[in-house]
Amino acid sequence: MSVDSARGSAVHAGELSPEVAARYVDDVARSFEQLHAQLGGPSRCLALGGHSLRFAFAGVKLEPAILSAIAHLPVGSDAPSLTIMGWDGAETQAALPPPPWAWPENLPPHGIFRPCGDDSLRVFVAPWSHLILMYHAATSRAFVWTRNAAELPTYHHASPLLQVFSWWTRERDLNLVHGGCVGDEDGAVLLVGKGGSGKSTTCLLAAEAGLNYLADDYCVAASAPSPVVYSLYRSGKLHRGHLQRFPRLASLAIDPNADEFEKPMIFLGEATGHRVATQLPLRAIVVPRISGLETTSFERTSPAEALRALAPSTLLQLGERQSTALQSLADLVRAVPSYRLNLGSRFETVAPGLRELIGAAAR
Amino acid sequence: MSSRHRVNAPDVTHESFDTEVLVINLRNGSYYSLRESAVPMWHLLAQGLEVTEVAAKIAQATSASPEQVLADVQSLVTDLTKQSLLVERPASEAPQPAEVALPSAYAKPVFDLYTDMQQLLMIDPIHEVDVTGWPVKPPTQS
Repeated sequence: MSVDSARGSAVHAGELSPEVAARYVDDVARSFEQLHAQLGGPSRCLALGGHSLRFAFAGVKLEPAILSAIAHLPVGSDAPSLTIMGWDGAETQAALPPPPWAWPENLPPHGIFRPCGDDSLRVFVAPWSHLILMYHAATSRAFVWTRNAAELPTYHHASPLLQVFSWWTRERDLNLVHGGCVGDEDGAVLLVGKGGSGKSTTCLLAAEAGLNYLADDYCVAASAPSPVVYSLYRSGKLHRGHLQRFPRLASLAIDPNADEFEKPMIFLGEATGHRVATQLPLRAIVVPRISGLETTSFERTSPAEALRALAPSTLLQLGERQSTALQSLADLVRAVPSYRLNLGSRFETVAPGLRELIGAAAR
Repeated sequence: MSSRHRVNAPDVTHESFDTEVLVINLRNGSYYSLRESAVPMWHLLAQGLEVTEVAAKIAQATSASPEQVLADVQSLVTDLTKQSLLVERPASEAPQPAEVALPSAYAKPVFDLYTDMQQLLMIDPIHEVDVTGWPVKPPTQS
């Protein structure tokens, strides 16, 4: 139906009271519980950043789309700090309860909608993917619903629940950051910069060379009490160039729903011959750039340059609007040294260069 | 128009280092690097000092030509207000002077604008909702 006829007399966008939002969240949870009682479904507790996350699904179709990318996380405790409930409309024949608010004419940037005008209830809507995420901080509950998990684009498989993790980490002195991360026995480096700067290629080269892989695009970091980085997704996206450059990885790539924008991906782990670490001390922020020279080298750079490479892409990509978020990223940048990584055209020099950099930063 | 300003929060967020201020406009996706004398100018302007007061402080600290510094501050303010990073400070909002590190030598302000992240903030119209009231892809698109 048209959005105008659906708007009706529902509460205006941004003006829902937190009490009504809380009652709606209870309704959604009840819907989930009823479905779960009817259909059963898997549940799992995983640990991230010293917290436990409980995932529960009604039916079985949605679980692999959500958990495959985070299946490497350690087992969490039974006292979760966030419970995430999800179901697939096609399998369960059940929709989300109708929202008690009217939609604005335009979906806000990033598809992130705040029905109450504040952070009481945050909603991510992806009409093109038929995916809805909700996060209710007061009750530490989140929901994921999709019309059909089999239709979810590949990037949702690679980084599921991204917005929920972004909101949840922000409230726990953790930073979900846009960056790749690899490391060795001395610790890890966070590779930051906009798309095309060489982050994901560097991460794949490092993983192929035996370094620990933590992320190619998003991970979680904390500056205190000591700088640390946590793997969130074990996925690695493969660009067209990667498919030619890494034929072994290309043979392992999956692409659940390819389209012209999609990049196939790989889930790294023992099965692919890679070492995936879930947590390492953070030793440095690294800004990669393609140098045009043969050999990879590195040099110290200013924390300001590192923050310029890290913060805009993180905050703008995740739709962050809290003014404290930049301060938090700046704390991270100030906690460790920053380097510029001059990527050489001889790829075999990248991993040794990274190892040398990590060693220098750890000393 | 008042010549006192304040940072356009919460749309604009900023972080300072010794030699650079990073400013991000969360509303339009642009971000900015302020360097050289733009660093103390930013801090003093954000505190609510008049353009002339900012210029006088910096000219005094650096022994630079007061006319040159004033012209540079005015030019920077034009850029900062045009980009909606600074907005007019209401008369009811008193200036909040605080210690600002001033350079001993003058270097013209540097103000770099980056727009490479703006595409992240593109918005989608909501054309259709399903029977339960949730936005869906328009039927004409497949």
